[in-house]
Amino acid sequence: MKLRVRFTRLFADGPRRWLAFFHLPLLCLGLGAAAGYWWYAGDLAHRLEGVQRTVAFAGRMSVHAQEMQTALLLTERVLTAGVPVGDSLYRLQVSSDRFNLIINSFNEGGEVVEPDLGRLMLDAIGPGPALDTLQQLNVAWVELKNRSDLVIRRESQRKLDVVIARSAIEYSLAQQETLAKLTTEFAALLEGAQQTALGEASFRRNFFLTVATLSFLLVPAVLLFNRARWARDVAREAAAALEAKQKILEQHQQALEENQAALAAAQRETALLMDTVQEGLLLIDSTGAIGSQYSRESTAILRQPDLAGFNLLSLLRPLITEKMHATLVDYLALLFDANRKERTVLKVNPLADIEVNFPNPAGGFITRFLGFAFRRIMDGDCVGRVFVAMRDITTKVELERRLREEEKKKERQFEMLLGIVHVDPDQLDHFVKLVGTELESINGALRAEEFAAESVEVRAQLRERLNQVFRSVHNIKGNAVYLKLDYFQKTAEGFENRLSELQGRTKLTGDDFLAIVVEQARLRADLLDLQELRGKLTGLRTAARPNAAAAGDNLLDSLTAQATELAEKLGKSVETDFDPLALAALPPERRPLARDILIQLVRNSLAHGIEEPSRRVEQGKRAGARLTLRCRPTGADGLAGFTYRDDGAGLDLAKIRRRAEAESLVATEATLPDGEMAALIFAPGFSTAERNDGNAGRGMGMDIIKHHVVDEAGGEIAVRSQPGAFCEFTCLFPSETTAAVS
Amino acid sequence: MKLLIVDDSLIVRRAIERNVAWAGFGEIRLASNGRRALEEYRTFRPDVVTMDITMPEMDGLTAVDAILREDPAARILIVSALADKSTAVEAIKRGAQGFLLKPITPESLREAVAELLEL
Repeated sequence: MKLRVRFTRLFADGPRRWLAFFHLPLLCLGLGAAAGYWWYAGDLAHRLEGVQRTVAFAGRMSVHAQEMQTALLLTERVLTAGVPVGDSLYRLQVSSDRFNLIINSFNEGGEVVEPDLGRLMLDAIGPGPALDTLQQLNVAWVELKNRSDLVIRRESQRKLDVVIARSAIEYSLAQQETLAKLTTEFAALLEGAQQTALGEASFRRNFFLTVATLSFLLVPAVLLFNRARWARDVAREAAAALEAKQKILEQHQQALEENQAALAAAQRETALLMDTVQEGLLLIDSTGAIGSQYSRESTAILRQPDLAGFNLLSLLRPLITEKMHATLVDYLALLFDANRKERTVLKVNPLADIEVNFPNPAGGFITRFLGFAFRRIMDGDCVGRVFVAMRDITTKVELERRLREEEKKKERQFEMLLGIVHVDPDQLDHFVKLVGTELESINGALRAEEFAAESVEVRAQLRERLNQVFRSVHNIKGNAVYLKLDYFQKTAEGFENRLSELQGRTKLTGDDFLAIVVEQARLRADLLDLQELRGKLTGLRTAARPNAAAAGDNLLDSLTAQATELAEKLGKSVETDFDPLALAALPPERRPLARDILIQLVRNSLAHGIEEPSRRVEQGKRAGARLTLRCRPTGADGLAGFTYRDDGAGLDLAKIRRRAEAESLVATEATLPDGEMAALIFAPGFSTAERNDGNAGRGMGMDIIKHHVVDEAGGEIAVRSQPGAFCEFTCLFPSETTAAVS
Repeated sequence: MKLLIVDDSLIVRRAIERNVAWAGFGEIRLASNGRRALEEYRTFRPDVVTMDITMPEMDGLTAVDAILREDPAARILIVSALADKSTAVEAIKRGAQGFLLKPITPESLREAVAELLEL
C-alpha cells in the first residue's frame, strides 16, 4: 500500500518525473532489446546457413556413394576390356575419401571441405535419432569402404581382378538403396534437430523484437496518453475553477441582490420617514448644497418644491437680512471646521430662531419664524456633512411674543396705574375722550386710498395731513404732560419724533404713512389699557370721591403745578395769577378744550416768552414771571372766553419774520403790518424755538389752538403783544345757542 | 490653575469671581478692559480667560485676537450682554471657545467654565 502510494507519488508530479522514471528507462530497455534483436537475428541467419550447409554436406554422402558405384562400374568395364584401370580407380579413391571425411566429421567433429560447398566445421552428432541413423550409415559405409579399399589396394599390388571388382560392385549396388535412404534420413533428422535449435534462436530474436517494439511504441503512446490525461486534468481543473468562480460569483450576485433588496427596503423606509416626519430634515455639504435625501416637510418649510442640488445659503439669502446671511456663511464655516468643538459651535447657532420673509404671491411678505438645529456628520477626521433639522416655530414664537407682550402690558398697566392714581377721574375721563377724538382724527387723515395718485396736489395734501396728525399727537402729549401721564407722554413723544422725521423729508409717499399707522396703533393700545384701568379704578374711587364741583379749580391747580415744574426744569421761575372763575364764562363742554389750550399756552410761555431770570432782572423786571388768567364774559358778539397773559418778552416780530421767510410763509421783501406778522404764529409748521425738546418748539402749539378754537368751535383767537412787556392771548367761543344757529 | 476675568463692570467681575469658587482656581486676576487684559495675559498666563466684549480702550473681540496672537492655545470664554447672534458667531470665529450671554447665572457659568477646562 505504502509502496503504491510512494510509486503513485513518483508520477504525480507531471512530465519531468514521467520522463525520468518512465520514458527514459523504457527507451533504454527498447534500445537494449533492439540490440538483442539485432544480435540474435544475425546469429539466426548464421545458424541457418550452417544448417543448410550441414544438410548439404550430409546429402553429399549419397552423391559420393553413387560416384563410387559409378567408379566401380567403370573399373569393372575396364577390367573386362583389359585396359588399365587408373582413372576410374582415382574417382573411386576420391569419392571414398570424401565420403569418409564427411561421415568421420559427423562422427567425431572436424572440418569438411567440398569444392563447391567450401569448408565447414562440423560438431560431432550428439545422441538422438540422427546418431542412430549415423551408426547404421557407419555400418553400411565401413563395409563399402572395405570393399572399395580392397579394390584400390589390389590394384596397387597389380593383383586386381574382375572378381573382386564385381564383388564390390555387387555390394555397392546392394547397399546403394540403403545408403541413399539412410543418407536422406540422416539429412532429414539433422535438419529437424537443427530446426529445433533454430526455433529457440528465433524465439529469442522475436522476444527482443517484441520488447523493442513494445518499448518504442509505449514511449510515444504513454507520452500521448499522459499529454491527453494532463490536458484533460488541466481542462478539468480549469472547469472546476471556473465553476468555483461561477459559484462565488453567484453567491456575490445573490448577496448583492439581497443587499440591494435590503437597501431598497431601507430606502423605502427612509423615504417613508422623510415623507411623514413633521420636521425639515436634510444634509448639506460645506458649500451649503442640499443632498438628495430630505424630508417632505423641508419643502413645506422652505416653500421650495424641490431641494436636491439647491444651496441652503442661496435659498435663505433672499429671506433674511444681509447681515444674518453673512453670519450664516461664517457659521457654516465653523460647523465644517473640525478643529472647532462641535458643542461650542452648536451653542452659538444663529438660526435657532430666525425670522424669514417669504414673498407673498398676493404681494408683500409672509413672515415666519424658523428654528434650525445642526449636527456634524464626521467622515474620518473631517466634517463630511452637516445634518440640518428645521421647524416652523412661528406659532411658538408668536405665543412667546404674546406672552412677553402680555407681561409688558401688565407692567405698562401697572406703571400706568401708578401714573393715574393721582389723576382726577373727570380729568382722566376727559383725557380718554380727547385721545379717542384725536385718534379718530388721525384715522381720518390716514385713509390710505386717497394717496394713490401722485401729483403736486396730493403731495401738498399729504403734508397737510401730516401736519394734522402732528397737531393731534402734540395735543395728546400736552395733555399727558399736564396730567403727568408719563407713559402716554413717552408714547406720544415717540410718535412725534417719527412724525418730525417724516416732516423733514422732501418727498412723502403713501407708504410713509404706514409708520404712522403703527404708532397710532400703539397709542390706541395704550388708550385701551387706560380705559380698562379707569374702569377698574372708578369702582374703587367712587366712595372716596368728594363732590365734583371744584373741577375748574383742579384744572387751574394742575396748570399751576405744571407751570412751576416746567419752569424749574428750564431754570426759570414763575408764579400764577389765575382767576378761580376764569373759565366760568365758558359752557361746561368747552372746559376740556379750554384746558387743552391753556396747557399749550403755558408751555409756550415758558418755552418761548419768559426770559431767563437774570435777563429779567437786567430789564428791571421781577425775576419770577407772572402768568395771568382772566375771564372774558359774553360780549355783544355773543362770544365768551378767557384771556391769558404772560409778562415775558412778548412776540419777537423780527424773529417771526425770519422764520416765516425761511418757511416761505412770507415773501422776503413784503412789508406786513405788525398785527399780520404776529398772526403768522398761527400758521401750521411755524416755530421760533431752536430746540426740539419735550416742552415746546414742535411748531404746532399755536396752530392746534387756532384749529380747535376757530376751525372747529367757530370761535375767535387774538394775540396782543408788547415787546419786552407781555404777550396776551384771548380765546372766545360762541355760546351754545349761537353755535347751534351758526 | 489661574483665571483672568476681563470686564469693565466691577459687579460682573465680582459675580464671576464668586461663582467660579468650585473650580478651585489658585489665583484669579481682574482686568477692566482689553488692553489691560492683554498686559495681564502676558505676565499672568492664565488657564482660562472670561472676556466681556463692550469695554473702553480695547473691546473684547480685539482682545481675543491679540491674546490668541500671543498664545494660540489660550482658552477664552466670552461673557457678553450682546444678544445679537452674529456677535456670538463672530466671537467663536475669532477663536473664543465659548460664548455666555449676560445676565449670567451660576449654573450657566459653571457649565461654560467646566467645558473650557475640559479642552
